[in-house]
Amino acid sequence: MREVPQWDDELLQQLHDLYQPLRRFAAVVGRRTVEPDDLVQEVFTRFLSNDRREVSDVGAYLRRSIVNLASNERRRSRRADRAQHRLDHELSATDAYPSALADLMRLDARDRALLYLVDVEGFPTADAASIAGMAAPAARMALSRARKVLRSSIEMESGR
Amino acid sequence: MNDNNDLWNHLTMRGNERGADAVLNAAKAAAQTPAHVATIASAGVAATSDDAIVPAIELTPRGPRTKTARTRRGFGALGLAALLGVGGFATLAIQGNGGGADTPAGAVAQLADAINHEDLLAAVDIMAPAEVRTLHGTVDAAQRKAADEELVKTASKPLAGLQLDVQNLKTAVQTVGNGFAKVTIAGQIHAKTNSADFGRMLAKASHGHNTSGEVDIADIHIADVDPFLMVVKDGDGWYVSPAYTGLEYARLSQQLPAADFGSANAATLGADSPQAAATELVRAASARDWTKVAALVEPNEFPMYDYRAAFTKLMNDNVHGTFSIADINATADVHGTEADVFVSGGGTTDSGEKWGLADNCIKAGRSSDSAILFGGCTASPDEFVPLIGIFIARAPLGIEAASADGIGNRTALHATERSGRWYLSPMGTVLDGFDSWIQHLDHNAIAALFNQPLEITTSGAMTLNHAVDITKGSNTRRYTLNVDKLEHVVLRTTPDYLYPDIVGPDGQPVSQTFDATASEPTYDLQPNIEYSVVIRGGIYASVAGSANVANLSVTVWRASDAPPAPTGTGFGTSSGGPSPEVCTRRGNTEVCSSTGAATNNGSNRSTATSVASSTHP
Repeated sequence: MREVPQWDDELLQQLHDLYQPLRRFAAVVGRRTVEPDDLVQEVFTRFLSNDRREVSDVGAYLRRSIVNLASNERRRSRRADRAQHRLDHELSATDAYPSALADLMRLDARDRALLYLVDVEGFPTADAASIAGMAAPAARMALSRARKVLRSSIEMESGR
Repeated sequence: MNDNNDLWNHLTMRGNERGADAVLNAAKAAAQTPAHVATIASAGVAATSDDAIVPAIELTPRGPRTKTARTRRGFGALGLAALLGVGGFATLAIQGNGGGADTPAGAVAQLADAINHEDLLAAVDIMAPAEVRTLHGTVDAAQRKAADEELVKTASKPLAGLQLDVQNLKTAVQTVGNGFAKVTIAGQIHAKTNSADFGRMLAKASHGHNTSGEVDIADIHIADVDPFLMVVKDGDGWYVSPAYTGLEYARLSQQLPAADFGSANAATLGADSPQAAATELVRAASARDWTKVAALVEPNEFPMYDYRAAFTKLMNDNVHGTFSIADINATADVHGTEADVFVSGGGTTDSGEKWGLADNCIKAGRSSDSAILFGGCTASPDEFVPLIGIFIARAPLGIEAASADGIGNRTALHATERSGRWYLSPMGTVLDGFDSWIQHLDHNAIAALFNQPLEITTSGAMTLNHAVDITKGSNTRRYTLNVDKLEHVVLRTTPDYLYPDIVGPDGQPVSQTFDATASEPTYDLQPNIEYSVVIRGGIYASVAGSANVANLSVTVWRASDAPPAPTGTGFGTSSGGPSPEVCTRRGNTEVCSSTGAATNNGSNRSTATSVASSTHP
């Protein structure tokens, strides 16, 4: 007979509290064709299905899972990449900073995750690198490159 | 609200929000479905075959958030220790190869058995002899360094503290050529560490934590294909081939033409002399004759010739520029069947820019971010970057050798004679450089690699608002910093991408405060605490060199005293000095701008901002 998973209220409340920050993170890291809620639901599902005893930092673990899921998703289909590229252009036509947003979305999911975690959420670079699955020196270089791309895009569009 | 915030807000608020309750309830329902439970149960910590989102090595219990990084570092550290400690074993293995296995599947089974017993000797023993021959000198140096730096307790047991188990190994053999087979593998790998058995430095880096995890081999999807190993026949035995395995994965990932297995005849390829091998390589590259390029690489060591069709397509699809050669020459130091070759020459590129080659370092037209990937030769006063392959040797892990004097000097291409013909030896070239890197690797660099900043020898004390000149040398260093009262500080470097850290007495980075309206993070420093400012050397210093920045410095400014941060830099730590050129392409127009020193040598610096644009077809 199959064993039905059981979850305690404290764990469920913890996931409930993490929903908003994870949703924002998923929105940044995931493809624009993927609903952020779908990414969060997927990592919640896998987390609840898994043996969680050795996971003490649930937030970091779930963020890492979102990054991996987004990266795997990107790797799976080159065709989807090309469709994404076209969609970026179409969607970006209505955005406030179309090129900046398009440039941002063209970054690797891990680079985007790094940039968001460090520059927006204020994570230490080492922690953000760990979540993104990168070594700290590589993360610093990726951050530098990503910041340059974004900065120059915004400046171009701001006419500075 | 600034532009940056608008952008992030726009992005984070995208999509249709269903709310926490709806998402969580849907996840609970999905997690209770039989299919999902069954999938997880069968795959251990991983999920489905191509959706394995959970890290292969499970995160272990921890207190603060930084544990994730610690766990990763623990495994990374172990990997390096294994690499550095492999010396004695591999040397023996190379000298006394065991003769391989009777069948392709047997070779893979022997490798799995060697892993199960943490037996590097046996693992190297089942590798293709021609491919591992060049490890000889490198592992000797690694062994000594590992012992000196206490990475392992004893050099003879480099994997002490790591227990690996390959279970339920299943193989499927596909013959792909005469003496070549592709062995698809399945099973599980369990890993467990016991930090008590690590050397002192490793034990410290692992914080005494033990880690365990399991990965299903089927979930290791590189290039979206089932995991496999390539196996080759050498004499009467079958051996696992790291080179063919890597090349085959690379070919599949790029959907390139199949290999022509066993087509390289060492007696007919190559060149007449080591000098000719090197100069013909440059001429072949100039003529975009990629088959010729492949024919000059030692075929037993790295079978690029077998993969010449794939290599040609890869290069034709991705490398579009050409260059002409005005002159090219080479000298060689020959030692029997081995030689060190030095190439010099010059010419013009198809865009009309001059290029030069001196002692294997390419003199590029201008500095660029691409130099970040190279290092090595960039430490010279001019803008030199090394030939592809050498950079790996120069800064293989992104950290530096101890002495800048050892970097940027002549770097040899390694050549070797086989069947009377001379070939370039990529592995020999890389490993020669790796030897040099290990030789110069000092205690501070290793401490930085293992994220033990307080193990780095102190170079002196810093005071607020006073720059510390770090121009000389590219090595990692640490300065102490004390303040008399609570101070709100910013960290500036010249150039702005040296990325120092401020760490506390526990060795952990001091938290940064990032005000979204500011252009740089700030730190709050408490009195009566000794902080350390850690500057990691190597690749960052090399970058600085490539950007022709004559003066490298670090300053901790009291935030209220700090000069305005210049524009044109990134969002993070900003510079009081020159910034690198930034080029942005929009349509067919490229705009480049830079702020900072107008001269290369720093002797007559002036500040200038320049913007240039050019139009491309």
